[in-house]
Amino acid sequence: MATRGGRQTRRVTASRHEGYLRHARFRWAKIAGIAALFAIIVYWIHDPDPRPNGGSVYGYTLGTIGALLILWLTMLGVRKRAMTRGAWSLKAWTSAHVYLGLLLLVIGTLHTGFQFGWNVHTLAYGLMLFVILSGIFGITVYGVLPRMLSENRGELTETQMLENLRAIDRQLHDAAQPLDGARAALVSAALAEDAFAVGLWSRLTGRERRGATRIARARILADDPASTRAEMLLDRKLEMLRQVHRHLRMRALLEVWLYVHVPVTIALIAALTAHIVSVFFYW
Amino acid sequence: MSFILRTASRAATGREIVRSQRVDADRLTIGRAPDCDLHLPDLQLALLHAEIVQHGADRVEVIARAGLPFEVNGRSTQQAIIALVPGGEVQLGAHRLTIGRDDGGDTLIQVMRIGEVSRAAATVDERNLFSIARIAPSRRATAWLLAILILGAFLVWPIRSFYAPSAIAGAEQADAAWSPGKLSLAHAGLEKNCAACHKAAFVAVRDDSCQSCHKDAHDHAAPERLAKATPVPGLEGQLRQSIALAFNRPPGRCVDCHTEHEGATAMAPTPQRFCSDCHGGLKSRLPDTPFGNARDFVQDHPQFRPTIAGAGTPPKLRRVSLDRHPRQDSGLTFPHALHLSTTNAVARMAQRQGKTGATDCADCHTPDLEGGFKPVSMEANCQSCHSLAFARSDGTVRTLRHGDPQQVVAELRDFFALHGPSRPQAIDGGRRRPGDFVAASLSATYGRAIANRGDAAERSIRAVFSPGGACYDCHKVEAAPGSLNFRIAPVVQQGHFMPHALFDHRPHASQSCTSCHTAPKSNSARDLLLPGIATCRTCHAGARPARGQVKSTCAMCHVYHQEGGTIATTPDRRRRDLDALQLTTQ
Repeated sequence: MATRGGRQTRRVTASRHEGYLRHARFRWAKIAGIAALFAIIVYWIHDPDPRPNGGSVYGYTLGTIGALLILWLTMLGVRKRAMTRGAWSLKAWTSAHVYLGLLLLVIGTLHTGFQFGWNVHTLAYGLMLFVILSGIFGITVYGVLPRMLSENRGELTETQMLENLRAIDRQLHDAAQPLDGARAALVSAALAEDAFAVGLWSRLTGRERRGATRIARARILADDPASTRAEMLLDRKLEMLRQVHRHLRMRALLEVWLYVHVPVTIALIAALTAHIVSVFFYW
Repeated sequence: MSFILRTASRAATGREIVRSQRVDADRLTIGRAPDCDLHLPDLQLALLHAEIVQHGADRVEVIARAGLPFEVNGRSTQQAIIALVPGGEVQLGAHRLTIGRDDGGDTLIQVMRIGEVSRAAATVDERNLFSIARIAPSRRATAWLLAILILGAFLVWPIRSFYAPSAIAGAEQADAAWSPGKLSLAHAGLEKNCAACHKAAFVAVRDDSCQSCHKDAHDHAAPERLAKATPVPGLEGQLRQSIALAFNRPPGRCVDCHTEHEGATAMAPTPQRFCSDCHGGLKSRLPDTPFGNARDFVQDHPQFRPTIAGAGTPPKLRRVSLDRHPRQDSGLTFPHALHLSTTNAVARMAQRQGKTGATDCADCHTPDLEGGFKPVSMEANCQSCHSLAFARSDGTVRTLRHGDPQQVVAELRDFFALHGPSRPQAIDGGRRRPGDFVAASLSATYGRAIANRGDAAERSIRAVFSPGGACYDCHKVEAAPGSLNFRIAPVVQQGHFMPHALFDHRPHASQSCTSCHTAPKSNSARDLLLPGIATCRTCHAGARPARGQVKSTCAMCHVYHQEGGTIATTPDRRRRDLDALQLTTQ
C-alpha cells in the first residue's frame, strides 16, 4: 500500500504543469531581478567623470557582462535542439533565457550611460532593444494566443478546416451548375479564390479582404432554387473563410516574432562585433 | 456515324474509372446544361458552350455556341476543323477532349477533367498552409543579409579606409559611424579626421597627437615634484592602473583629463578629482609647497591669499591671507566711502555736473575687454571734479600738468614771473622830475611788488602741495623741510590680486558691485576691498552644489597649464608674476 501511495504522489507532482515562466518558483526571475537592482544601485553610487559612459570602469564591466550575456542567450537556439531534464532542462534554460534577457535590457541600457547618437554603438543598442522587445512580444502571444486559437478553431484541426473548405467548394460547384453564365462566372471566381493568399501584413493586421467570394455573395440574386442554394453555400464559405483568416492571423502573430527575434539577433551580434572592434581599434 | 464518349475519373482510392457512352448523331452538343449530349459540370463553361459537327468520315468541326473561345492544340479559337487522323485536343474550361477515331470507325472523344473544382481542392502543401513560413522571408537569409550588411558597412569599410591611402574619395566618412559623440567646438575641425588623434590601430590616443597642435602646452610642475605630490594609489587605484596598463592605456596622458566626444559644446572642465588627488593632501607629501591643501571649493579650500604689490619700483610683493585683513599702500589717499556718499559735497558736486544722485563705481571704474577694469586715470576719471586749473589769463584757463611735480613747480614760477604787477604808466614818462611824489610812490610800490613776486610763486607752490592743495587731495607728498623739491609718493594700481586663479567680472554682472566689495563702508584708501572666500561661497558651491547654487569645480578658477602666475614652471617666473598682477605704476 505504502508503495502504491508513494507512486501516486509522485505522479501527482509530475503531472502538475509548471510553465517556463514560473519554473522553480521564479528562480531566474529572482536572480535577474536582484542582479538588475544591484546594477542600478552601483550605477547610482558610481560617479564617473565627467558623466556616465560606456568607457568608464563600470561601463566596461557592464559592457563585458552584456556581451557575454548576449552570446549565452543566443545559445538557446543551439540548446533547444537537445531536450534534457532536471536543473539544466530545456525548461530551466528557457526560463533563464527569458529573465536574463530582460536583465540584459537593464545592463545594456546602463552600459550606454544614456548617451545615444547616429553611430554603430547605438545601432547595436537599438538592435538589442528590438530583439528583447520582440522576445517580450513572443512571450505575450504565447501566453494569450493559443487559447484564442483553439477557441476559434472550435473542434476543428487545421486539416479539417481545409477539408471543410473543400467540401463547401464541391457543393458550391455542383449547386452552381444550373446557373447562367454570369452567375456561374461569379461562383467560379469564388471557387478560384485562394483562402491562403493573404500577405504577411494583411495577416498581422487582420484586415478583411473583399475577395471573390464576398463579391459573388453580394452580386448573386437569389431568384430561383439553384441560386438560393448557391447563395447559402456562399454564406457558409464566407463564414469558413473568416474562421480560416482569424486562424491565419493568430498563427501569424504567434510566429512572426521569431522572424524578427532570430535574424535580428544575428544582426545584433554583427553590430556588437563592429561596436567592440571599433572601440578598441580607435582606442 | 456515332460519337463514342469516354469519360475518365478517379475513385477516392486513386483507381481510374472509365465510362463509355455512345451517341448516335451528326452533331454533339457540349455544355454545362444537363440536356447537352456531353454534359460537363464545369462552371467555366456556358450552358451550351460548343458543338461538334461530323463532316464526312474523316473530319469534325468544333464550333463555339456561346461566343466563348476554346483551345485547340493550345490555340484559342471559336471554330476549328479537326482531322480524325491524327486527331486533336480541345480544351474547354477545366476539361480536355481528345478527339480521334476508334477501331470501329466512330469518332472517339475522350473526356478528362484537368483542373480542380476549387482552389482549396488544389492545395498541396497542407502542412505549412496556415504558417507564415510560406510567405515570410527566410529567417536564415534575413540573418545573413543583415549580418553581412552591418559588418560590411560598420567594420570592413571603416577598417579598409583606415589603411587605404587618403586619396580614395569618401574614405574619411567611413569611420564616421564609429564616433561615439561630437567633438568639442574647439576640435570640431577634426570631426572627419579620426586619424588626427587615433593614429595607430589598437593604440590608445597618445600625447604626441595633442602636441602636434598644442606645441607650447607645458607640464604643471617639475616632473620630480609632480611625482612626489602624487599619492600612492590604493588597492582600487592599483587595480585600475594595472587594468589600464594591460589594455595599453598608460596613465598620465592628456586625454585622462581632457575627455573628448562629449558633444559639440565647449570642452568639459576637467573633473575635480584630477586636482584633488594630489592637492587634497599636498602639504603632507610636499611640505615645502606654498599652497594649502584643497579638495573642494566648499569643503576644503584655503582662504584667498592675494598677492599685494606695494608702491615702488620694482614693486614689493607679498602674499597675505585675507583672514589677516591685509592693507595695501597704493600711494593714494582715496576714501571710497567719501566718494560713494549720497549726501556729502561729493554727491552735490556730481549733481551739479548733471548726475542724478551720487557718484557710483562705474564713474571711475571702466570695464576692460577681459573681465577686469581699466586703471583709473586722472584725465579720464578724476579731473572732472578734481580740477588742476589755477588761473585765467590771456583768455584761457591755465592748468597744472598731472604726473610731473617738477613741471608743476616750474610752471607756477614761470607764471608768476611773467604775470607780475602791471607797470604804472606814470613812472615811464621820461626822466622823473624832483618833487613828483606820486610818481616816486608808484615807483617804490612797483619796485616792492617786483621784489616780492618770487614769494607769491613760492606760496602758490607750497599751497598746491600742502593740505587743501590740488595734489594733496589725492596724493601723498614728500619734501625736505623748507625745500620746494616736492615729490609725489609712487602710486600703484593693481588689476589682479590672485594670479593663480581666473576671475572674470562679466559673468557676475547680474550682481551689484557692493554685494562683494564693501566700498561704501571703506574710509581708508589702504583698505583692500577684495571679498573673502565666504562671500564667494554664498553662491559658489563645490562639486556637489545644493539647489540654486553654482557648481564650482577647481577648473572654474584654476588652470593646470597656466602661463601667468607662479604655477607654470617657466624660467622667467618673476616677470610672469608681475604680468599677471597687471600693475599700473606712476
